[in-house]
Amino acid sequence: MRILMFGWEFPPHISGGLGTACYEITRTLSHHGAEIVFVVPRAEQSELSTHLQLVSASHSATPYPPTVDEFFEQLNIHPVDSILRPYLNDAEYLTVLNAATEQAAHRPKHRSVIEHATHYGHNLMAEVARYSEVGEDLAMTGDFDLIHAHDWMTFLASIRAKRATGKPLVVHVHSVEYDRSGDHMNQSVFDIEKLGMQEADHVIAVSHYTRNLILEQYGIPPEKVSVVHNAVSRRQVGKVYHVSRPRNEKIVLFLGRITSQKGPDYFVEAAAKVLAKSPNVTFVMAGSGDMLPRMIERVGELRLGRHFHFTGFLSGHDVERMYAMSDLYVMPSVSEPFGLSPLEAMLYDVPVILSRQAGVNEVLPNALTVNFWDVEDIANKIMAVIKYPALSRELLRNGRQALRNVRWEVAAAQIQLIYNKLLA
Amino acid sequence: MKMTMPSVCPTFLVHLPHPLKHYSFFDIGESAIYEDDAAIFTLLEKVATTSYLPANRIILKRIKEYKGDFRVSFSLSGTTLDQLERFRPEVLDSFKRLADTGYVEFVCEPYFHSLAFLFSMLEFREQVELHQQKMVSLFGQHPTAFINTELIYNDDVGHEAEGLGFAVILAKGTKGLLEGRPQNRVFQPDSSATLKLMLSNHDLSSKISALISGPSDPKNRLTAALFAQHLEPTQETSNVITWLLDLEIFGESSLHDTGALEFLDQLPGAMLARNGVRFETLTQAAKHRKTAESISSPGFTSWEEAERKFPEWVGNEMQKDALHALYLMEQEVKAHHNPAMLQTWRNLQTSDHFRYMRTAQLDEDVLIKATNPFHSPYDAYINFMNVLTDFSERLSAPPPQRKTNRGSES
Repeated sequence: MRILMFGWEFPPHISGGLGTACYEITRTLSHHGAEIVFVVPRAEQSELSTHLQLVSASHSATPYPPTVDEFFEQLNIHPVDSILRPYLNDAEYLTVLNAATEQAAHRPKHRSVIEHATHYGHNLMAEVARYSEVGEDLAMTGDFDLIHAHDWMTFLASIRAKRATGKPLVVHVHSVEYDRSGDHMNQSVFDIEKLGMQEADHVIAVSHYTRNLILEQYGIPPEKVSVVHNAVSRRQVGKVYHVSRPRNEKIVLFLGRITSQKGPDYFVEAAAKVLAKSPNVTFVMAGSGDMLPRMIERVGELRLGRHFHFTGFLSGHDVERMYAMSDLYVMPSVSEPFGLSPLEAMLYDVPVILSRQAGVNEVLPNALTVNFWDVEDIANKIMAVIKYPALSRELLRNGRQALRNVRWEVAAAQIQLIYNKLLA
Repeated sequence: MKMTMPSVCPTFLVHLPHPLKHYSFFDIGESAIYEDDAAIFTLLEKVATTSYLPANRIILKRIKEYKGDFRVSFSLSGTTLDQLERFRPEVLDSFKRLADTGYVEFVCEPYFHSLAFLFSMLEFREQVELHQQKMVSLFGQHPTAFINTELIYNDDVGHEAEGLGFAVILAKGTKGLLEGRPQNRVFQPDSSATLKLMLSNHDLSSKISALISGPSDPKNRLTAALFAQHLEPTQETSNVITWLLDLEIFGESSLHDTGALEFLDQLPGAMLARNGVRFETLTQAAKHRKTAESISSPGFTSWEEAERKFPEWVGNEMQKDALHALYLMEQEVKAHHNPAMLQTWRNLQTSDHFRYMRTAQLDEDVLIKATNPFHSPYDAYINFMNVLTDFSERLSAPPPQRKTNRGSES
């Protein structure tokens, strides 16, 4: 079976769960014999070198078993020059575009790079449209049985590939516009998502939560939409980190994009309540995003600076270290299609508090949950985890048990079944 | 061989949870009100009106009608009696009227529906004594039968009950305890010289509960006559069947009429219509049977869990932590000689608080979820620990100065 897959850069080079999901899905599918032509956007002037190095570097601490060779034999990576990256919105796209242009301008030797930089779309939609052209080109040259696309920026490319070849199309929805933008939805993005789901022969949603949004907001017929939950790989846990810090100091972590979708503001407000009661707690907000400046400002306003740290964007070992240092992970997302990071935190034996509006709850029936808007309750539960050690022990025990059934192999087998049905 | 009909011992349980109110970490030091009176009142109101009052009316009517031929036993938790006293005293009166007939036995249990036997023998004995006094003062009966909270039983419980002067103890007839023996008889625990052990017939009891409390098609409805027909004569002359039933299952549901009260109403007549059937109270049944087979029970059995050791209440880290923290306070609480404080501490011992913290098979156990006022076992634990932290701080705080007397006081 040959799959033309439109995906995203593998970890640790991108933020968010999309890259991780792409990596794990291609790895496990390849392991079970699928041949994958993997198409990813990658800016030419990027300092990242080749994909192969990229992957081996990120896993130097824990080399993958022999399957890794098998994996790369069967995975034909096809980078396409584009500055698209997951979760971009219009404004962020322009920032990225300016940065790319500027970077090129500062290196006058490479005139050609400037040309490259300037050929990117003048806005996000233009770039998505430009990117879609590769879909058709690839479809005409490649030999494959099925097309699989991850999230909306690749949908147009995959639709063109389908139209050019008539091969079945699977679109994989990791998030929808409603998750990312709430009530301020971008109509063009919504339209592309809808078109992708309509044109697709089958739609994969990462949770029932997301599936419901797909049925209700996009009007896609239920029989066409399956749920394949994301998972977490134990091998992702690298070295054991021995982190020394004051014994009485507890670290409470927020790690994710600092955007309204993730509810960082609720984390800050809860921190203020906790710190008013208990000064021996340090709050860490790791990540970047358009709400970061406002969050920094608010922390200043509340005079929490001494106990509240911003790390900026973390990747690779820094993420692992951050998890290892933490006593509690909090995910107060307003709308979370799945939410991989709590599973990762749990791998480091960090208890988690989850928003009830998160798909990941579907695989963690015994999680400690909150309503994201209930700052008082979030603070109450942070205090409880810190003050009552039996709660952490119980959460970790139940978490480990739940994680046993949350494996990428299961996800890949479910995807394989969907492929088989479409090709039968 | 001569065949005889068995005796039956209907035993009704009366206990309602008294949930804590939502108590956040930020309430610690701010509020000393722990119980959710509104929720308690609402539940009590509903159960009293739809079940306790009409069920007691029916039982009273039939007792008066059949005189000594229809007898029942009641096990009333002290905490629920306290609530009835506060909110619905007429329900207490209905129990008193039942007591006045002389055909109703009131069984003793640890007053606060607590797990004290597992954590503090001193506290256990005090609660048993409190309950005995309550039975005497309310009903003029000195109880001779005992049921431990949640039917927790082993040889040690039996030994203790005998030491406290009880003639009979009730436990659950589990497979592990019976080891293949027929259960409808009176036993003699190995650990006791005089105490008799009776075992509730769980299959029959849960059959009755399921049939009359589930949504039912009148065609499939369990009628008392049908139920009575299933009673088989046996070769044994000392046969006795103990039904252990929550009184609240005999009630009118707003959703559907299950005919539960009608079943209760018809039951005595239908049973007595079968020749040779007798109704007995627990103590009567035990006294009337001279020979009793000996039985040993080194391991615990209980209401919910037949074979394992109490996962229901003390199975996970949270339950263990909460219970140990609670009972660790005993000496300090009692040293205060402050009745209000003691009462608060004891109300925190009620087993429901720990049942809400149960995590095992959480998603499957619909019933547990339905009766759990908390969103999750973690929420139950957090809430309880917040309350306990506040209580503990108040306990160790210096007593407030009396306002009448300015200056130092010693």
